[in-house]
Amino acid sequence: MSFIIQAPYPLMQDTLLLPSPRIGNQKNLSSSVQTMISMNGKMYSYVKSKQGRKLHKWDFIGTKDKGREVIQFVKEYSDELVKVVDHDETSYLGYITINPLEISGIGREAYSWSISFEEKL
Amino acid sequence: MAIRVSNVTAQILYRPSEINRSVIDTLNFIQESEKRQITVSNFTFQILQSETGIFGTISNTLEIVDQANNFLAIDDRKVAEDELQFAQNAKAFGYETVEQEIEFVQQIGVIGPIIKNITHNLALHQDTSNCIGLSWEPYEIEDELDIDHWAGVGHPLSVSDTLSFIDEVFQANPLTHVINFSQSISIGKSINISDILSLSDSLDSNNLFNVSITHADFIKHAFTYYIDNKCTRKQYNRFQGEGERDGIPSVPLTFDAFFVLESLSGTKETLEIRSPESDDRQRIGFSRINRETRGGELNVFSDSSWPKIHSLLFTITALSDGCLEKINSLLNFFQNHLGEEILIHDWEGISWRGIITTPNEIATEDQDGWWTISFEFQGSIVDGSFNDQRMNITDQVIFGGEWGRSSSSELELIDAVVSSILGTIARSLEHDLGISDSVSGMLEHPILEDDFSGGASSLHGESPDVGDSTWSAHSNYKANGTQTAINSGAYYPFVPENNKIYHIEWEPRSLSESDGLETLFFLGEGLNSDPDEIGPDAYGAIDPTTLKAGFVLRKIGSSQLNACRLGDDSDGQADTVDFSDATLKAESDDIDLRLILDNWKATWYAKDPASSSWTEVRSESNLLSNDITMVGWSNNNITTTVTMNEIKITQKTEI
Repeated sequence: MSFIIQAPYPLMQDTLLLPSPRIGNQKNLSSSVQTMISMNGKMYSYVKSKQGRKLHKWDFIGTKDKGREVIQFVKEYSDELVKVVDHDETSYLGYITINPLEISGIGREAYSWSISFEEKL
Repeated sequence: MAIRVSNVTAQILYRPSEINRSVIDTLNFIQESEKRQITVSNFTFQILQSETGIFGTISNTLEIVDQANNFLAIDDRKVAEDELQFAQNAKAFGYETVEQEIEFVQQIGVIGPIIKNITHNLALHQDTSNCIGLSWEPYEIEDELDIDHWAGVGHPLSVSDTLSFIDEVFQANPLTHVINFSQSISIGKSINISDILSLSDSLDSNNLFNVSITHADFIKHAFTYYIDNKCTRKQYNRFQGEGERDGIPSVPLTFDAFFVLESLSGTKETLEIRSPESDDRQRIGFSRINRETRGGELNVFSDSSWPKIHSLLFTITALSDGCLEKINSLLNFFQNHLGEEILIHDWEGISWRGIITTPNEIATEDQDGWWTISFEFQGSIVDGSFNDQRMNITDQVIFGGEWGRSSSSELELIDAVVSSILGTIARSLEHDLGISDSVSGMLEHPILEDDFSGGASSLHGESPDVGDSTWSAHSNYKANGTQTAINSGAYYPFVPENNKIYHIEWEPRSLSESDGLETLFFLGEGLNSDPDEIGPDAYGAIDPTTLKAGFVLRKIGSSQLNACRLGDDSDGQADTVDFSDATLKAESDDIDLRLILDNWKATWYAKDPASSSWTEVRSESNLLSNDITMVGWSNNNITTTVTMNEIKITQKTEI
């Protein structure tokens, strides 16, 4: 199954079609909690909820041309709202946060790159 | 030898207006033995203070030397006595120190041919009681009395050395009273030596300031000890090595595979996921101050109120992202309860209360559709039970057969009670929609049973096989049921009750009747006080043994005419009716007799011993008299005999 990134949202003009990411894709909350303990032993927690936004990271392997295509896409829409439909056909709306985007050769004609993405609720 | 001192006045005069440091008063008396006497008269010794100034001490020394040397006792039967009495007073006012010393040296050197005894008495009295001081100027009074008393003789037959003195110290301040004793006796020749040192130390106090006086312990013994153990050497090592604290109580493993997160505030939410990987970690963080001295000694300090942070690190794998969406549920739980206290119930059944401090940990899809995430939890153990305790027990009831029954089934209840006393009861129940219970039967209770299995001794006083009393019988009646012919009987106490049914049975054997003579089996009124009584009052004809109901085995002419008899209040032969059954009426040998007494109505039965069924030989009849107190059998003659095989009385209760 494919991995689709479309931008700009909502008037999609370009579609980036990528292969399924490598095993090991990640996602996590962007929220954070900082705890402090006062002198009387009472614990206080300070939270940054970030509205529950999640961060995603996918690793891809493709050809160099596909890598260049990804560079061009990210270069064009790094500050635009994009829509991602991942390999599980789950749609996300947010921003591509990878910076810098780097494609790395891992063979004769294969390159790898990672795309990190932060949802916008 | 005598010393006479008269009219001697030795005094120290001072002017109160002046404060003197010292006054020296010396009085010397010298007595020479050659003269044998000292006569002092009109002697006045006084110290007049002529100088002004401040004196710290007053010294009053009185020295008296009395020497008796070269005394030759012409008459050896006389006792040489040397008495010397002294009195010295020292009065001072306003002085810091008052010293009053009295020194006595008394020597007796006796040279004589034969000395009987020498009495050397030294009486001393030193009194420094009249010291008046100033209340605002504490002073010290030193009263020392040194006595050197010794007596020496050339060839004494006995030496008596008595030393007695009284040392008194009066003082307003705390009292110290020390008496030093030293007594030694040195002799040249003696038969025996007796050295007795008797000490008596009494402390009298007349002191208004004293609360208590203790004059017993003069030795005090105190000791301290130190126990050297690990605890004393490790008191500062509260967080290292060994210590006195108890460990964390162990919690038995429940091997529950569930790992539950539960919210405590806001929307109640419980998330159950799989247990973390086995490499989970617990981290204990605490605050303490470490200082190492230059000598290398480590000093550690930690206040007990300083917080200790307990963190748990979990790694959970294989969280699905498919239909179960465990990873998304977990992230949503983190987001919904950011910074809030939650409960974690781990796989050991331990509950933790705290905060997830790393909700933004990265979850990795390391397998297609399965995620792995790690997070850190900071909290503490709480006492309580597992929230969602599940009992993994499958309760099964396995039975065989069918439970169902048809509507027309019969429920039979067989209630059998068998005992040696009661017999057997059987009853049946009908089962309709309810239960109808009809029970018929008789409950038997033996009152008297005797099979006369005893010996040839007298039956009188013997106890039956069943029964609470004993037989009252003529001596001709034996315990084995036999008898020698006598016009008397053997009786057993029996008092029937109202509304009760009794079966009285006799089993006579070996009956030998003669013409006109009777053997009676009956319920009677009473007993003779003498069991060997003979005659009509002994065999049931008249009181006290008057027959009330019974049987008569008799022969009239040559025919056996067995009959049933009733007696009234005084006549035991009031009513006699022959057996209705001709065969039993003519029975002259063994026969079984039964009398049924039902609420003062009698019915007579008889049978052949070989038969199992009873034959009514007289129909039910009312008793003529209800005064029944005994049961037995008798003969009205001295000819006939009978052997009693068995007697029984059974109480029947209809149920």
